[in-house]
Amino acid sequence: MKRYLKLYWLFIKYSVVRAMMYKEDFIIWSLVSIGWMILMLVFYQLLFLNVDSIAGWTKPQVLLIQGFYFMLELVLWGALWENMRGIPEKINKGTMDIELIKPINHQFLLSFKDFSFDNMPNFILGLFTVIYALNLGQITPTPMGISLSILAFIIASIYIYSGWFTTMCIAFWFDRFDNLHYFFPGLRQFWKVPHPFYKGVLRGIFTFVLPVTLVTTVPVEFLLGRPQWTWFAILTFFAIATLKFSSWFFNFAIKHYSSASS
Amino acid sequence: MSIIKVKNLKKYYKVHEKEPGLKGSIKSLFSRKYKEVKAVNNISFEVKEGELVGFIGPNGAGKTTTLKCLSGLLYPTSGTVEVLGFTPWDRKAAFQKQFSLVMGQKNQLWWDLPPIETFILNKEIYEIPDNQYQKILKKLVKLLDVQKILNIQVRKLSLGQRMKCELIAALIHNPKVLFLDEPTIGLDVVMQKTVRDFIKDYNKQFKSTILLTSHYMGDVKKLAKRVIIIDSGTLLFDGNLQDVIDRFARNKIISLVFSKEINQRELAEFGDVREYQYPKARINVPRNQAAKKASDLLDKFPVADLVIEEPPIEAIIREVFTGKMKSSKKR
Repeated sequence: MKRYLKLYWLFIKYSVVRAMMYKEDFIIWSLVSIGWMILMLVFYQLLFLNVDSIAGWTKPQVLLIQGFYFMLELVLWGALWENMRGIPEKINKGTMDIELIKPINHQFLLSFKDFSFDNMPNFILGLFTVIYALNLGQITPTPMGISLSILAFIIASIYIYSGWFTTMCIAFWFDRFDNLHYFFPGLRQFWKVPHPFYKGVLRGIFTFVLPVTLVTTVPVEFLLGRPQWTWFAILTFFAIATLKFSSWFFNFAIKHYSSASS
Repeated sequence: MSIIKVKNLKKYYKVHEKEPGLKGSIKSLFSRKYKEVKAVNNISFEVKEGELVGFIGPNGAGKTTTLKCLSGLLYPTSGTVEVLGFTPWDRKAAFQKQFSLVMGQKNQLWWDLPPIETFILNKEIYEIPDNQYQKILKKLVKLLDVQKILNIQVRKLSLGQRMKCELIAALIHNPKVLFLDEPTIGLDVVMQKTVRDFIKDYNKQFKSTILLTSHYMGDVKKLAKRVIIIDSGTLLFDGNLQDVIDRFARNKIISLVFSKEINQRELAEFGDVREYQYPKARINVPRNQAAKKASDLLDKFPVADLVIEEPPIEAIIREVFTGKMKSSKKR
């Protein structure tokens, strides 16, 4: 464990060094990210000009969901995007060879080698949104609520990572599979809104089959002092199960790796 | 003791054959034609500890596929491989810490960072103790003379400089087995010599087992006493480089210097005239008749000097690859 933490720290360090070498790129993408988030906040401001609540959720509570959504953007686009995008590219070009001969857990290497700091402003703005929303709603979470919320956020991140990585393993069967890395992040549109917004069949799917809408709702409910233990248990189960499955599936998938000519 | 054991190794691929043009592309969406490519077809060989073996063959012969099976990158269709007592495709960390694969056209150096950062990263990945790392790094940097470029971004280095640093990155963990796939490809003649000299010194100093693939006969001639020749996935020869000449060379070359002008047509009666520019000439003669032909030439023509030579190894290998001669395999 210590070795992997040290390696991850090295990966982050090198990513910082690279980001500083291309600071114009960092600045521009940070501004673009912030711009998109501001637009989203404006959208919800407009929405709640006309209603007081949606499915029992008030504006501050929905803004909390937005705050956690923004913070998860760092996980998606900062910690995972470059790595996930790299998997089919490495398979297509044969540069996966370099990674697979290293004496280290290859799933770890493929998943976490690159870190993009362009999305750090997302996380910071997300945190500010959470604080603003708590103030707006005059909500004072308990220390236990905050701790459980952080725990749920981490579990949600594990679930997102595992689901995304499992999807990317499909690329080992194909010489080229452009855009596969867009599929899983596309699902984040569903966790922009609270889980109770969904009804009927969709609600069932997002609870028991693909609980992506729980990744923001569960941490927020802890902050609101309304712990949803069933949803938390479902999210935790799916996070652990998907993580284990991703490991098994990866080891199965690389048997189909056929490399590429130099 | 054999450190690499390959037995009846086969690697077959199923590749999609597409007809050319747009019509072919649309047709392939609904019905695909596949053909089987036998990249490696039942090869067997063993390599002893400390050996430096040249693995040669034309493009598409199966050299790189073989190396990738030995590295554990590919699962074979059938056959067994044992390297350092491990089955490579089990990808055990204990095995991966003891070998290295250098591919001339695939880079492990981080593009935006100086090479030293990749070395540090590899130190952590391979769990190399600090003092061992410093010792090896110092030795390799000195052997390759790269002290001045260690802290320069990789993307700013020349191809030759990058290749040297790639070699260091691949050897920093002092592997017992080294697979080199076209290590001098694309390098200028000076850099080719540098890399060859380094490989030879490394093999000598560290007693590592090296399997080297190359198109350049210069690499093989300089480095390897033993060669394995592979073509179309099949092992054609495994033995000493000198034995390649003895086994496959059909001709010898007689080089002549004449003291007077001669009739070139008369010269052609003795053999295949490869070159004639008075006063010099070179003719190919059947190997078993070389001595008699030389004697006849001395009788018939005003010869000032005569030398009987073996054909260049490159020409022999070329004839092997083009199928002009086939021979059975092993030593």
